[in-house]
Order: sequence, then C-alpha cells, then structure tokens
Amino acid sequence: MPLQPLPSPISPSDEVLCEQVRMGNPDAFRALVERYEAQVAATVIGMLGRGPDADDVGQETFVRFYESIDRFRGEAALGTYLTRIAINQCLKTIRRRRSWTRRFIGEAQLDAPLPDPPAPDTTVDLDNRERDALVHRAVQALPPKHRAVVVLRMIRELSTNETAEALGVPPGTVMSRLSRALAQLREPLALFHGDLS
Amino acid sequence: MSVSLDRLLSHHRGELSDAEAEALRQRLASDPALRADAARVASMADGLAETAAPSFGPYFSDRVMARLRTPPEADPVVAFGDALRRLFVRVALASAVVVAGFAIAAERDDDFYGGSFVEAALGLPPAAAETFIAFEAETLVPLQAQ
Repeated sequence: MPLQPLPSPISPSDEVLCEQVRMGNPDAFRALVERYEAQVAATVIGMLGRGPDADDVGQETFVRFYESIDRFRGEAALGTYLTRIAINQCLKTIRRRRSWTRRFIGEAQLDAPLPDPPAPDTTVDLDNRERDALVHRAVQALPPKHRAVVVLRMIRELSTNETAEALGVPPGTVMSRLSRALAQLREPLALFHGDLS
Repeated sequence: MSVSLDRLLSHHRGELSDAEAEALRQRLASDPALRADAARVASMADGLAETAAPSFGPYFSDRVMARLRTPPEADPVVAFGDALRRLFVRVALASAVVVAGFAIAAERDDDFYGGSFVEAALGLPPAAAETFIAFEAETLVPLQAQ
C-alpha cells in the first residue's frame, strides 16, 4: 500500500492545519511534519540513501514548505507538493555531490559505486539491512531523473499520474524513464525475481 | 502493440480499470514472454516497496521545529565570498578617498610643477616632453662634462 498519512477521526484536515500555521500556530506545523514524515522520508532516503544528507534534506523540505505556506493554496495535494519540494532538494544535493566529487576526487570517480550508507537502525534485522543496502546501491547507480521515477513509482507506490505531477513531467516520460530504469535494475535486483539471465 | 512495464506495474497494483485489466489478462494468457515480464516487474515492485524508509529516525519533528526557531547557518564558502566582497568594497572606497585627498592637495599646491590631474592624484612627476628634456639637461649634461 502507498504510504499515506494515518487517518484519524479527530485529527484536523491539512487545510485546517495549514490555516493554523499561517496564523502562527507552531503545533499545527509540527502535526503536519509528523503526518508527512513517512512520505518525505521514503522519497528522500530512496533518492539519497540513509545518512546526514538525507536528514538535512528532509528538514530542508519542511522548512521550505513552512516558508512558502502562504503561496500554497491547495492546487495540488499537500503530499504531492511536499514530494515535489523533496525531489528538487534531492536533485540539488546530488548535483552538489557530483560537483564536489568532480572538484576534489576527479571525473573518473563520478560513476564509481557509492559506499554503503550507515545503517544506524539496529532494530532492523541484518538480512533486511543487507537487502536495503543492495537496493540502495542499485538505485543510486541510476541517473537522478530515472532514480526519482523508481523512488516515486516503485518505492512510494504512486500512480503514473501522481508521479508525473510530482515531477512536473508528462505521464509518457514517467513510463519511458521507468522502462529504462527497470532494464538497468534487472540484474542488480535479481534477488527479487530470481532472474540472472 | 507492446505493453509497457509501467502498464504491467499498474496492473499488478490494481490501478487499471476493469476493462483495461481484462484486456491485459487476455494478452498475458497468450504471451509467455509478457507473463515473464509481468512476474519480474511484480516481484521487483514488491521488493522495492518493502525498502521504503518509514521515518528519518527519532525526534525528526523536534529537529525541524528547532531549525525553524534558529536562523540557518551560512554556507562557509558563501560566507567567505561575502566577507571578501565587503572587504574589497571598503578597501576600494578608502583608496578612492585617499587618492581624491592627494589630488586635492596637489592641485592646491602652488609649487606643483604643472602635470595632469592623474599625475597630481598619484603624486607622480609630470611626464611632458619639456620636463623630460629639462631633466636630461640637468642630470646628463653635467655627467658628460665630467
């Protein structure tokens, strides 16, 4: 099932919380952060892997939303709006990483595999950590725009149209990027489908 | 007409309409290669979805709220560039004031030997041909006489 905010009969709607945030209620903003943390985390950690960068981008996503809340009028669902901010921040971070790598390490290292991300969550068993690390390496090897489609369409389980809306591209572009990304993921993710051909 | 992997994924997730799903089921029934693709897409989708991170870790909302209360730290590279720019502007302004001061002082000095404003501003001797000849006459001729 796609990650959705937990429904609760007593929790106010996004619109009500946004209005309260505009009136200066910090508790309303905290409620929105807690409601959408899972969606933003799945997006950002899917794009960047676990680590300080991901946490920083997660925070930056909500800070940017807070700063632009007067401009948010609900044309898109709040989850889509936050996803769009998160993806843009992730792409910016990836560009900065590449620029840093190019400047200090060299062009040849740009396509080298990234080291395994730290896995501080000791509650997850080793098999799952190894699986997550393998998936992370495979997804990180994708070009950023293809990676975004895989993260939204396959990890976040958004529909084609939701993915297209979040990325600001036509649905056909989502389909073609997904097709190319899956072709590239076929071998590294053979553990899921048992096909090493 | 080929079936896209996105459509196979949509079918696996139950996102297609009844009519679309039925049409695709018929294609799958008659096409073993398409069935293999569908099975592979389904297993990859399920496997990837399981890796979705549920949170950033404990106290994430506290970190966000704390960040809203405190101004963000400036990027050290940008901060250094800004500081350098401010320093340059101050030095340039101070230099302009000093040069202007010299120029005014030189212009008011009656003994100044008639160069241009720029020479006066920079405190340089005039570089006109007549002063050069005079300089030669004063310094070189006595040397030749020796």
